[in-house]
Amino acid sequence: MTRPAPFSDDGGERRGSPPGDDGRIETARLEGVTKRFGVKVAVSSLSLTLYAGEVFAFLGPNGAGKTTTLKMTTGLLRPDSGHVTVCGLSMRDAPRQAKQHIAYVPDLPFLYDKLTGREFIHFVRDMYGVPPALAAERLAHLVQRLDMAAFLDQLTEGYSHGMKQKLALAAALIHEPRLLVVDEPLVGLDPRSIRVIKTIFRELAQAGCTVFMSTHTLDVAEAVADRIGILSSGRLVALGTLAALQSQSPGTRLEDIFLQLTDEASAAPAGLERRA
Amino acid sequence: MTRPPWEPQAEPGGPPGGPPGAAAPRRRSLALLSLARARGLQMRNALDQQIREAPLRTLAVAVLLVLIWVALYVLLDGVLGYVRRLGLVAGIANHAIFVHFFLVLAVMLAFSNAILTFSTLYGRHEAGHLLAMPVDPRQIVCAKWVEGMLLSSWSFLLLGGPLMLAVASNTQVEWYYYPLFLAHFVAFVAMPACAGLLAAWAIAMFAPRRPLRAVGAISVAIGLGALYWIARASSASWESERWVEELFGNLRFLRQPLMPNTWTANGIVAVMERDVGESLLYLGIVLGNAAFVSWATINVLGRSWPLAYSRALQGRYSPTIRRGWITGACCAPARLLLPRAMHRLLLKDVRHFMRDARQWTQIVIMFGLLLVYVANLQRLPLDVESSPSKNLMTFLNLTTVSLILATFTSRFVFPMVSLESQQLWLLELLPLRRVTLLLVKFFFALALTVVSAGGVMWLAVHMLDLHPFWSMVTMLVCLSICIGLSGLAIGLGARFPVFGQRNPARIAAGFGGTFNLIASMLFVLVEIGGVAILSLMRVSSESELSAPNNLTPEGWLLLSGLLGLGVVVATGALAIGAQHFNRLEG
Ligand SMILES: Nc1ncnc2c1ncn2[C@@H]1O[C@H](COP(=O)(O)OP(=O)(O)OP(=O)(O)O)[C@@H](O)[C@H]1O
Ligand SMILES: [Mg+2]
Repeated sequence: MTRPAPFSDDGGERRGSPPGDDGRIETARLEGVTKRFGVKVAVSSLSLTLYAGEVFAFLGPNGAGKTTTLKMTTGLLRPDSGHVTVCGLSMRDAPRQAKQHIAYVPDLPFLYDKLTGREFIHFVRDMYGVPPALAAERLAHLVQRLDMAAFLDQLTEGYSHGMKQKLALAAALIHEPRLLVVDEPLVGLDPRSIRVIKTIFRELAQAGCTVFMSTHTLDVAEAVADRIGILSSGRLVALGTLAALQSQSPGTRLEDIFLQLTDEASAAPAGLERRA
Repeated sequence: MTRPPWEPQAEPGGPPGGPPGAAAPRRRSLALLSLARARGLQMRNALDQQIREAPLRTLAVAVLLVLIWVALYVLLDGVLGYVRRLGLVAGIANHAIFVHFFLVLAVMLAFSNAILTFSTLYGRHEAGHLLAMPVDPRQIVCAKWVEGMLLSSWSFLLLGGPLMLAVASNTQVEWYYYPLFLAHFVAFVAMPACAGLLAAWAIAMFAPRRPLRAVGAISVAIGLGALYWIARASSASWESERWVEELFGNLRFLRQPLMPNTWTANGIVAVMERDVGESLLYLGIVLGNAAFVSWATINVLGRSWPLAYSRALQGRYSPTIRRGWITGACCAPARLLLPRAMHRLLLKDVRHFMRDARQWTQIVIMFGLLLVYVANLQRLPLDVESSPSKNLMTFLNLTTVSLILATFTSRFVFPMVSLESQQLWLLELLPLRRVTLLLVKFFFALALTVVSAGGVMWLAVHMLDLHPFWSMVTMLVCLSICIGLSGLAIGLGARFPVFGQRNPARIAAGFGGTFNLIASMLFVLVEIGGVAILSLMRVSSESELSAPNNLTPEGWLLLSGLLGLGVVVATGALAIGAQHFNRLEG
């Protein structure tokens, strides 16, 4: 259970060519993070460092532990062992200060039914303490980018799935987080919105923010991610840039690499876990 | 493309994270206010929507609410008047009534607050959303505490108000009675709210994996305690010379000086006796304790809420493998009576119900309390040997049980159809008539209500040693009420379904749910009124020494009318519901 992950973060760094130089700024660091649900080990001594200015895509089969890892990064779940640091602030010792830098969009975003989109965003703005004038400027821009003007002043209970996703994303960006954690952001969005969100992620990265996303859409990962991590049964089985992953595996497409790695990984640890 | 507007304010190349709280905004301390404002906006929008989309309905609901309120007032007024006429020392009787009232109120408030906060602070969605924000958790806990108290204030509007006025009309009171009563009531609410918060926290913290089991264990413990108390109490002799002594011993127990409900009762009795000083003293005691308890609760919970949330989240899903043989066995008899498809549907409903703690714990606890009360009937300071007293007690029991049942069918049975409609696409594909679906739910609800309410009523009748004929009449009316209430809840649930809402409490709180509650209350009041008339007929016929255990022809007519009403109401509601439900599109 405590044996080192088959693929550690450092190894990936050495093999992969990092997006920036060596003096990169760390936005999030997970050190040997483990989470158990009863006897089930959801995430097993995972170590990962995220840097400012990168889009990091988390891949993995259903139940691999992606959502669990994201929740531990945002402080919603406490790791059983290991340590999470965000922008140099420990999630355990200074959770509030750390959360000021994070935005989290869960896979099923929460919205208050009886608030309009605008009221919801104002609520989030106040909770993060963003000055109203500044927030208004950002909101106007986001509304235009995400094409939300038509429904922003309606109650959120009437929103479609995609509208909810967009609103949750806009609310998450209103305080200019340094770390944006998004769980499957593109599920159920129309092609135009997907394109816009991909662009937004890239722009955020360019502006120095870190995007930490989980996804099942390999094309998106290929297109926007600077680095890719593949999780299988709670262990990181691959980590690095797309080029690095391609160079170390026989497959050439991400899909092949994914299938091969998760297949190998799930064969062995699953057997171990059953005995444990 | 323009400059992205989300360029971090802190220069991108700054030190990692900067000093803790570097980006800390000035307005963070206002999180509580923001939460309150958001909640206010939600309520305003909901009300606005109601009024704009259904003005007539809203008006009807308001009017019917007032009617219920008046009915409650009349009922309480009658009870207080009766007690006064019994000639007991008014102060003691009033005191006992208030002690009991506030005790029951405290239990109800603590319980509803526990459920409310468990779902908001440890639930799936809102809690995670709030916790992901850089806000002092204490402020969120505090906001939820205030919210719980505000919801509790409904209990004042609905129960406290009528009680206050009923007392005033039976006693001579000064003007300051009203503000002081209100103040006592409001001050009292804080402590049960804290108890509810603490209970929810304890369950999230220490029994996240098996909240059900924890609640069950606690209920069993309370039940055993109550049983022990009853057993001890009923072993005492009830000879006439010791009766008064026992009575006062009993009342001394009620006057526990360390219970907040006693303080509040003392304060209210004091102001009824025009002793403002003493009343204020008790108000001060309650307020002081409430302030301390609230402060401690909010601080303790605020500190450990994130941890408790994390534990609740990880314990939510228990990997228990369920084979469902208990529920299967429960439904096996129905297999003989119902066609196969209906039986499968019933089984599904029963499993859904039994596996959702929120669905049944409330019923179990409420009816458990009722059982304790009923089992204690003989200890009440009333002359239960005399026929009119028994009559009155049975009547009051039936009233209580049916009113509680009405709230339960509105809260638990009404949402069933709406919840089912979310899977309409699935049911649509089955070779089933939709009416079958409603009927299955109706039978399920009927079985539940008959077991719970019927059980309590049967025990009550038994404890009072009522004559078999009157027992039968009472039980038949109870059955009729069960049929009517189940039919109403299912029928109206199908007539006013709420889509896209998975939370049954929200469904029950919508227009249809409120309408159902009101219709149920009215139905119960009509039935109860009929029983009251029957009882009066009996009392008058008894004084003429005619056979007390039979009915006059008019009596028989009334009785069959009451029994028929339940069936008619149920059939009518189900028919209306089925008609609408058939037209729905999945
Ligand atoms: N609250 C919980 N309680 C118990 N077990 C849980 C809980 N949440 C997740 N798990 C378990 O932890 C494992 C990882 O779950 P997680 O949600 O992180 O997977 P995921 O990678 O996000 O999957 P998906 O791609 O389907 O979203 C799963 O086996 C799941 O059963
Ligand atoms: Mg997931």
